[in-house]
Amino acid sequence: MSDRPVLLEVTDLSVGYRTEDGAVVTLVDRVGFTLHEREVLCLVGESGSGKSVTMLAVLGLLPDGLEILGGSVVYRGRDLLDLTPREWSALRGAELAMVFQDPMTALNPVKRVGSQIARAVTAHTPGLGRRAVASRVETLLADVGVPEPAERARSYPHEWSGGMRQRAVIAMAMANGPSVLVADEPTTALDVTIQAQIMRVLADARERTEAAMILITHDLGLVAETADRICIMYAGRVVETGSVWDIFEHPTHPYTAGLLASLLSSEHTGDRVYAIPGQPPSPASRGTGCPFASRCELPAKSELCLTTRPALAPSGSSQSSACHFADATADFAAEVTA
Amino acid sequence: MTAIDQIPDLAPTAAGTAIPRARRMPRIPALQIIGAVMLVAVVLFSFGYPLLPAFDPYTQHLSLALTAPGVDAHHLLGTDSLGRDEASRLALAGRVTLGIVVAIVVVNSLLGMSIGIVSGYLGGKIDNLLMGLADVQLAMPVILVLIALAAAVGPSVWLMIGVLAATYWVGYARVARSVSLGLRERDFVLAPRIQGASGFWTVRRHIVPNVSVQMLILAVSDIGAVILLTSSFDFLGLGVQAPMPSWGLLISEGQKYVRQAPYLSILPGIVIFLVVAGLHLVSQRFTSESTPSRKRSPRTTQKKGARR
Amino acid sequence: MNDSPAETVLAVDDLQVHFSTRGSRGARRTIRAVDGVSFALRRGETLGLVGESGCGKSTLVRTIFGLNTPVSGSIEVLGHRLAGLSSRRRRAIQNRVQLVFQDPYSSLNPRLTAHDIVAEPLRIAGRYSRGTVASLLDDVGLGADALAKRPAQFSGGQRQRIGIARALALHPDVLVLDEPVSALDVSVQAQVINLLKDLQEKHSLSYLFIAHDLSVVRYLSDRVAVMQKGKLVEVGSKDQVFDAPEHPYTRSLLASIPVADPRRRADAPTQLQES
Repeated sequence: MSDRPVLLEVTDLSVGYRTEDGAVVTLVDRVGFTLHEREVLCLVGESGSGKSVTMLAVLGLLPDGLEILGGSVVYRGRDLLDLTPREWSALRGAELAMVFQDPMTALNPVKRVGSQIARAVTAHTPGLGRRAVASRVETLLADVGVPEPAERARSYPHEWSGGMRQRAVIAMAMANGPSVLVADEPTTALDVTIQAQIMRVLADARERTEAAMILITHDLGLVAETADRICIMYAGRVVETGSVWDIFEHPTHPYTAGLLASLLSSEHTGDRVYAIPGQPPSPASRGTGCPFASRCELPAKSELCLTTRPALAPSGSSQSSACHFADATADFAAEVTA
Repeated sequence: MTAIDQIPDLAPTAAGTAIPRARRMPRIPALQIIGAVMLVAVVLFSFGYPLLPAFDPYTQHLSLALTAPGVDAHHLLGTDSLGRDEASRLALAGRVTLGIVVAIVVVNSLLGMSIGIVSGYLGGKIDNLLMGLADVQLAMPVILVLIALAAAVGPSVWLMIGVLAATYWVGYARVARSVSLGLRERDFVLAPRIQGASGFWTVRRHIVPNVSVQMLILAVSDIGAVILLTSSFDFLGLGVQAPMPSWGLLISEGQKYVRQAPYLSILPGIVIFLVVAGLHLVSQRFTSESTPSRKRSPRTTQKKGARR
Repeated sequence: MNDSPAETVLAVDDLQVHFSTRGSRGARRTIRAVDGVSFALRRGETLGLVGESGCGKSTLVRTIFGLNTPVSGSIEVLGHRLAGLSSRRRRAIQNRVQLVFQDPYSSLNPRLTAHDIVAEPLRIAGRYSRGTVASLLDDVGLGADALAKRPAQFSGGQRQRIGIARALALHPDVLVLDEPVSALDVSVQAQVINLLKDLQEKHSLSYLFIAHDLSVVRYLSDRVAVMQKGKLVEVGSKDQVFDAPEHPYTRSLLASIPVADPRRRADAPTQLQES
């Protein structure tokens, strides 16, 4: 994968907010990753890990109060953090498209679905004839598997089921053939059978447009089925990154190893499953050392973990791990999975 | 947004984008301090002045009638047409008006809260009945009813309090109903129901505390409106009766001498303005606190019930 | 499961729960939310109930707890048919079955402390003592420092523990677990699942475990029931349902679960597929 040209490069991105007394609380701490053309990168983490905030920052959609504290986001050679709002709106929707968790927030409830998709088309291709737009909308809806697209386009979002709405949102995201599709938990609100359909729709859409995708999720099953490369985030940092094959085969960070071991696969039935102890730290109490240190059960763990923050360093052919004892993780992983 | 979302603690706190609560605590803006100062000044005057030896709202000094403010050292705010001390009358009027208004608001909010909770929690036919009653109340022209009753039995303070108490609860009932309707199906209210709690238990422990916060907010912002309303009734002679003063009555009395002694109308007008404007400025703090912050990104508030 | 036929603690027989709604043209329509559901839960057993949103599982749960009234059919707890009991007796029997909610954020009153939340069922039943509350919280792995804290001060996993302690307060025989881990973070789900396993053993509880996550169901359940459109379309032992599903709906559900193993992917490098 990594032989393909780089599309998006995020380097040392930090995002945080200022408290009333002026202190800065960091939510995303020097996060970096690279997205190559046509690749699927999964950002994996639990709630509060900073995966969604990272993507909102990359897309220039940070909510008020959150600010970028440093770093760069380079898309095809342009630093996105310097863009004006006007430049942003030309780029977003055309080259960078988004699909969010709840399709209802992405659709305007009082407008017909078709006209909302038409709006997405005309926003970046002005001067298109009425007919042309209508037939484009129809094609887009048909592409995401909406039956009778011409008719459905005239109905309102509330007349659509959750899965169908998400298809409409995907159609809207795909309207201008983006090069990067960001999908933030696109199936979390849906049932398993619908989830499977939506993942297929996303895969087909990427196939057609050759778009790269950043999938934000906490579901390791989805990751295993869709990712080319993975970025595991914990407490606002990237703790491990690498190809999907390497990470599932031999994780080199104790958090990744713990997550994989705690998965309830068909192999474990009956016995207790490994559970990572404790709770993720809150953003204000992450300290100076490794943020995972308090939950880490690596036998090699030492004083160093509490005092010094481990940097992301190569730990395998495709992998990097932010652990002082990445080499010792393999034995730990084998032990907890057993 | 339903009222239920306005209870700050109940807002879904999905940890997705962790923007801590502390950061959202608004600072007290200058306007609210000004409002509080206005309010405190009037209340202190109304309840503090009567403690001073100069307080004498009823003795008539006909020789000093219509003395302008600042002329006589014993009557700093002047005297009225019968030579009564205007400062004392204003202070007494304040006690009377504020007392009446607080009584009306307290009765209304308690009545409205009870009706609203019963309506929202029990639902069904009782809900239809009570909310139908509320609609009838809303359709009733309060002023005409009060005039009609005053004509029939003679105007009095108690009549005004009674009529307002019987009609002004609808707003409270509506809010209380919608909050309890929302709470009724919340899991934390279902839990005791499933575990055998009586309806009374559930309402007392889980509904009332959450509804009463809303009632308090509503009551604070309502006091100003009720002051204006009762003052208008007093002005029209439908409320407080002379010789007892009230702010509305003082304006009404002063109106007869508006050319010789404009201060007789202006002073109580200023006092009413101070209270109502002060209350408005102060209550903005409550309303802005109880309205969910728009700063949070829309998707973080949508995670309820989502599979994570 | 031991071999001797264990006592049935919860039995649902041909349960029908209907709702009537008005359609867009004012015509009355009857929705059969629960349509002839029957199952029996034995002591110490875990029955997994799987189905997608709208299949009627929440209505079934509400009906078991008396929040919906069935049109026909019966619910028996420890051999007592609930509908036939006096309200006092019914309360006592009904309390043998308790519920753990899905969402640990909305199931705890934000204004109460952990102590007050767990104490509530004890107070309702008139059996409150501070020591009982502390030992219940201890049972679910929360220390004495948790007593005075409010829900906002706990993480999702800890809140769910409080919810479990509340459900255990009246020493039930059956816990109905309504998606108890689906709202939790991945790294915390396993903790709660282990806790549920421990508690089941310690208190010989029976679980009706409702979930849409089939991997969790497979891990925890002895038997599995699959619900679709108000009906149980398949009921069987775990192995039977997962390894040899009979109903097409079960098969499509099983096919839809993402497998957390990239080696099974079609595009996996060949050397990995072999390993």
